[in-house]
Amino acid sequence: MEEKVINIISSVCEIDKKDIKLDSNLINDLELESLDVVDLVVAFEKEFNIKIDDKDIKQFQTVEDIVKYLEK
Amino acid sequence: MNKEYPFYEHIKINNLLELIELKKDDDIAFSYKESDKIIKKSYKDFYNEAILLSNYFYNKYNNKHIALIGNNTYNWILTYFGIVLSGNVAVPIDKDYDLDLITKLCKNSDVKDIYYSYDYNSSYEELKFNLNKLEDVNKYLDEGKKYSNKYKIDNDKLCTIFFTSGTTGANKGVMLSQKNIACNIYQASSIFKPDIGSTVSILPYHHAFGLITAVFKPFYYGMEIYINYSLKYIMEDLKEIKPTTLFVVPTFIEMFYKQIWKTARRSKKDKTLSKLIKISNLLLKVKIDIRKKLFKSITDSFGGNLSYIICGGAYLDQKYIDWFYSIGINILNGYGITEAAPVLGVNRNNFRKRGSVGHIVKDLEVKIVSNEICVKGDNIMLGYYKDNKASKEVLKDNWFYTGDLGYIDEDNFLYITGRKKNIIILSNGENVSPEVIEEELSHDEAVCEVVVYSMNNQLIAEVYPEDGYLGDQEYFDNLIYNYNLDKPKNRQIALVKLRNEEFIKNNNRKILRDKIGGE
Repeated sequence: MEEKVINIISSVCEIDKKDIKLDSNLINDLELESLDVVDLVVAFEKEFNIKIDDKDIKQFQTVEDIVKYLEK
Repeated sequence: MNKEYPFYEHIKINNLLELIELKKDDDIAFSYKESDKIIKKSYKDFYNEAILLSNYFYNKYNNKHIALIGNNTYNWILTYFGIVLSGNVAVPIDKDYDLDLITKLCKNSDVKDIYYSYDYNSSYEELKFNLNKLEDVNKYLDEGKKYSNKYKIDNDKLCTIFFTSGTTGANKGVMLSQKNIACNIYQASSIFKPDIGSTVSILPYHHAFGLITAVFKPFYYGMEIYINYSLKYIMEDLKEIKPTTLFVVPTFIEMFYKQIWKTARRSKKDKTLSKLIKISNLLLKVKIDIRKKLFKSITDSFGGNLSYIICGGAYLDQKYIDWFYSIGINILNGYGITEAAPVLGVNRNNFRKRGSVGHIVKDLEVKIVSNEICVKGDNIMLGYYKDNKASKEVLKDNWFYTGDLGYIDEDNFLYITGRKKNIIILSNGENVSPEVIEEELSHDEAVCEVVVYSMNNQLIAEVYPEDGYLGDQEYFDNLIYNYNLDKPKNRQIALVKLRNEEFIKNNNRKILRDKIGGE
């Protein structure tokens, strides 16, 4: 799961995979804007065929948060 | 007023009942998706439902403050009208605030009853107030059939409290009357004319810009307003709805810009795009405009009909305006403030100036006092709720002191140079607006973020460099040396300090100046 998530972040946000760590903060480390995060959510929804509520998006602070959420 | 560019003529309205009475026909006012089906509501439907809902609210509440919390929906807008047309006061609150902050704001604004979106966030149910679901609007409409609304609109009475989300201190409750709101709809319409068609409403309704400018104004023009349910679907919605006009904040412009380049890079067309832009810009100089043809695939991703993007709410870099113009999309940059309900100026369809936040709206007096922009008109708020001290600081003899610094040119265009609270006063009495210097320095490719402040009566520029320039003191010393060359002695920067990490920011990604070591 971790690898899949990192692959998606890397492809959607055009960030080198080696710069994406489990504890990377989306806003501060990966320098994403809030709308980039929305973009990511759309990609996760498509890839995992799930629906992520808007209100849950703000829980996603780090890469790990996303992995944990998706594992659930 | 420049004679060649007169104000557009529109019908004057004095309150929100007059707004919905303007047009009661079968044209579509609102559309939105519900389980993948598009629901359409005509102007007549909306009028009838707003009146029914006002009957319900009139019967249930008497001059009560009622909070509205939820994502953008038709029910949200309808409920807003039900509340204000029955003499009650609407208090829109940010749906993403945590329950403690919602509770605090509700208490501060004397709210006892909340209408909330259960579908958006069921945890609102834990709030200790009288709770009602926005999803139950049909039930309220049925109830409304049993009663009538005898409230006669008082244009000057408080009708809405918007909370500001300032960069410092607590949220202030801005009190607006129906006259304030109706007046600003009319004022802003005097300087902007949309192409007939539709808009997609994407800004949140708890902000004056998202509700008054991006919804009420298109409604006043008689446009179709498509309500975007979630930002996740924004690109899909644009393609499907094909809006002619969009109202956005700068973040959206930056996102669109990034998206376009990302798409180009993926299809290995980024170099071609750069070239086409250069060619098109050259041709434009000799009055040949083939932008529509050249950039069709890009404009199609916005639906293909987009003529204008109105941008406000925060500073927008001119580079985006220029770039979108190159591909055939006009960004009209504007300026507003919640306390003015909210629009004060916007660039016009055929009358724009680089670097300006636009032409000043009709029926607004503007004066500049010690560089501060002060305005007077029927759109100016009644005051801050239960905060006389703060109200008195900004409202003097019916003039509202915006706290923004700027100037007006000979054509009545407004320019913003900074915020008053950020001003640096040097010991020689010289006033320096740090934003002006920061803006100039930020154009250098090595500068990621920069904040200017004073220390020991000298100007310091603290820089967080872009990757590849971290710790390169020599580069930045050189940059400052060149910057200082054409500046008077007392405005020169004495020292450039480099950081290894970015500046601390608030939730809206604005740098918190208080956290930086100036004086």
